[in-house]
Amino acid sequence: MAEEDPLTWETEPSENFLNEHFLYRGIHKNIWKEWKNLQKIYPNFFMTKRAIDGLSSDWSKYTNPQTTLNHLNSDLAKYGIVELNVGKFRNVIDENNFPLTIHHDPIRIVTRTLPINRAHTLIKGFKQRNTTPIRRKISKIAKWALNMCPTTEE
Amino acid sequence: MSKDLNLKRAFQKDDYLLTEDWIKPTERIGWVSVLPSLSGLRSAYTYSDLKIKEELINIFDENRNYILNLSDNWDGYSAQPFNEGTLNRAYILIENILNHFLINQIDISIPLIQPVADGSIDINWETDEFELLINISSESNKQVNLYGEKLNSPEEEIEMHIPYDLVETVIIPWLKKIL
Repeated sequence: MAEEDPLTWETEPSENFLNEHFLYRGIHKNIWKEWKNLQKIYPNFFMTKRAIDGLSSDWSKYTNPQTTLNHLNSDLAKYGIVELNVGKFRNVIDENNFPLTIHHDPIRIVTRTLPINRAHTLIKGFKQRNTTPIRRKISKIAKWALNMCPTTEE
Repeated sequence: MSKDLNLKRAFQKDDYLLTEDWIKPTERIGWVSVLPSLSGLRSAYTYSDLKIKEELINIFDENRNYILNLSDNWDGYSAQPFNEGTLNRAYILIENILNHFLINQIDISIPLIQPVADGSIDINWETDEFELLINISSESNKQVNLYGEKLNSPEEEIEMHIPYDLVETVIIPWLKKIL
């Protein structure tokens, strides 16, 4: 069966993100190496340099955690892959009236920094001036994807 | 604060603190307990267990080396290196808060000091009693964001966006109330 042309990939609406789906994001060692307990996710994971443009993640509909790791050209010594369940994410947003939204943003053309990626998704809404409650509450529903907890030297 | 203060009496519930040096005599102090052990604390240290200033300086030095050595793209998503001013503002705030509780011989854990990809610093307390996240922006003229909650007491939740100079005056009473 012929592979689809990435240029034909549609940008899907947020309602296509089902509650049982997940969003995956790589967490670099420089963030987690000083975490006191690597079994827990700390709030400083959920931010990016230009947060106003959106936080990149990968949609489980079109990928899996290993592929997310592969896109980072790395391994578990350097990155762990966190997953956010879409249903729990929506609950946290609704319960706390957070302005976060999920936007499918497939990468159809290879760029200098990004591979083609149909799963690419942006979490937007960081325009709110105080992100500390957002980051705190999202960190509580985040967890390492199965077998994607980073490995340490110990 | 007077060293002769009778701490046992001062910190019994519903008592009034006698000295006027640092608190209004009519202000009530809730019960605060001196934690006998570190069990359950998620941070590695409690302030009063250490050789206070020397240990705190060591923690800050280690943390400073870690954060200031983070180079371009340190998070894999184009994060920039940190400026020392941001760190210093975080350290000063932590030291002032901890000093206050040290003077009053109240145990409080030392928070985690964590880099954030937008150039800010998180001061993060997570204990069995409370969680408090204070974010120090990389821009000194920007306000501080904070969010705190006492576990299982939603009425004690605090969320603020305030000038740096006001953080201690807000957080110290909040911590004293919930500890």
